[in-house]
Amino acid sequence: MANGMFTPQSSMDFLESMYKPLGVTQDQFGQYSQFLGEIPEELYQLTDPNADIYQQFRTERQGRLSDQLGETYTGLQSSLFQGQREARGMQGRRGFVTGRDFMGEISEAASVRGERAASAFGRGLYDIEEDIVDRVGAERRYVAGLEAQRRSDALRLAELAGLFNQDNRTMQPFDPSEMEEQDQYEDRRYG
Amino acid sequence: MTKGFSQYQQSQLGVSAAKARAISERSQAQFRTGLTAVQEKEALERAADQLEQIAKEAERNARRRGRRASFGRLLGSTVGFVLGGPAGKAALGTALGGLAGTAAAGGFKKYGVDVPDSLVPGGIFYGREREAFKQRADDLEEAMKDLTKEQRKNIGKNVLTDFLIGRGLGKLGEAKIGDLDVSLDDLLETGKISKKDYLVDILRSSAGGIGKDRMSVLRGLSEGTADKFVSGFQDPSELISRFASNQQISDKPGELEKLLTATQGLTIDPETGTYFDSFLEQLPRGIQGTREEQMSALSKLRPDITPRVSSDVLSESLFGASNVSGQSIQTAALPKPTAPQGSLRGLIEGSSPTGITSGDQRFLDFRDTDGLIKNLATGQLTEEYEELLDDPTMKVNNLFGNPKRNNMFQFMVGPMGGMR
Repeated sequence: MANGMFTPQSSMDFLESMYKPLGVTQDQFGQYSQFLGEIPEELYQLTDPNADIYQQFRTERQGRLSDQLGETYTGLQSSLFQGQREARGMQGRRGFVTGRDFMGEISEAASVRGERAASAFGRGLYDIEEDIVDRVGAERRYVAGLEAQRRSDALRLAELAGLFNQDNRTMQPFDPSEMEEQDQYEDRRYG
Repeated sequence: MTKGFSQYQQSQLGVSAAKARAISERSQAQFRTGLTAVQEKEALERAADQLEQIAKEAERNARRRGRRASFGRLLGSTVGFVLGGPAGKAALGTALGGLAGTAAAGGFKKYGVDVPDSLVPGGIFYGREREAFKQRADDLEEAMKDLTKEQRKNIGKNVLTDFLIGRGLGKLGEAKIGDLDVSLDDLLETGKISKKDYLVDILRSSAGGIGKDRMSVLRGLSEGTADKFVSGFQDPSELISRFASNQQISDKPGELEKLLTATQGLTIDPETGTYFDSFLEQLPRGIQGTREEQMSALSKLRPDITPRVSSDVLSESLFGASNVSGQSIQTAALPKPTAPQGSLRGLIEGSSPTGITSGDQRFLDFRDTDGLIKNLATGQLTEEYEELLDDPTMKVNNLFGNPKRNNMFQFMVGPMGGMR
């Protein structure tokens, strides 16, 4: 239920939620479950942003970002050491001031590159979360589409089976409290 | 498996597999549904074909061996008729009706009709037809028990032939019973007789007539046949009044016109519900009843039982108040200052407005309720007599003092709701 995760429904549960409020008994609709496809539970799990698969995605992507950042810092470190050595050489040949200026430029360039790398890392982390949000949204739409198809299928079944034939049974009169229960049920279900 | 993939990638593979499974399962379920429906429909149609063959054979047997051999077939077709309804049109009804003879095979075989039990197709769809078939089969068995041997013998051959194709019974049911002003179909539809009694009476009438005792019973039942709905609304003023008070109806003039047109003599198709579909659905719940009851009742409305609408009722319906009393309707002769001038003037008779004339021509007569309603509802008057709109008296000022070209309805009601 967290973050609006959809709750899985088996075909029988679905038929019950659809037909029972209309007065159709379980005996009547039970035999029609074979004509409705199941929606795999895994797909419902994908509607939860805290699902394991998104944690895996997050871990792997963050790992890659960390690796990239580490490689960048390692490269910067090497550059600094190299520059330091070259600056010392300059001090001996061209004088202390020239060597000191050269070292300063190298340090400044390394600092800028380091900041850029850190900023890219932060953006990468944000992009990962945004990617997860997009994926969850897409999965929710997908599951909602499957549920819509199932309702449509159930309606056709009801028509074929004559489940709403008033000659055979009595339709339940409208009951406002049932409507409230249905609202509460949907609130619980869709958050 | 899939060692080269990361954990997330492996999970993603599982997700795609689940999605594929969902699509596949739905496809399979749809296929099963369609296939089962087609198979069951085909089975019913095959049963109907087989029954037709059996019917033809029974007819030959009847010619060779006499009526007795084909009698069982009569029973089946009788059920078929009832299943198809009084109109007797449904081929499926005829087929299943024949199957009724099969279902009750123990009772029918003695009449020499061999309908195999296997002719009854099984299935889970088309439950309504099956349920109806079972019920009718029971009704038929009971009905046949009530018939005497003599009656069975006397059932005419032609009637049997008609029964086999699901038509003749309908004709018998439609006909008036003896000297009564009611048919068996009427009694069945109004619930005065059961389906079993209906069958028995049909068969009796085909076998030479309904006996005196039964006729006396039917005569008693036929009194007050107009059912509860009709009797409650024989005076359409009440119905119209309720209709007028229902604010949910968007096109009141249109619906009212339909209502009055129908109650003034145009018959209503009880099957399609022409004219009354939208109207009935919007009636207050307290007077709705079931749809069958409504259609049955409304289909019986005829001019001879429907009094014409009085101008009082009409005014009540259209303007929300009677023209006898009320704040918004002027009942006395129009005072001179407000009386129409020029070529258009209200025709005042007594204390109530009774019509509108323009010059020598009388456009509207309040006592001609049919014409009035039709004109008001359809705008026919203003369409046909465009000059009325150009009459100075029609150009009344609206509430803001601006001249406004008005229509006849507005003219009659007036800017403040008063009848002019």
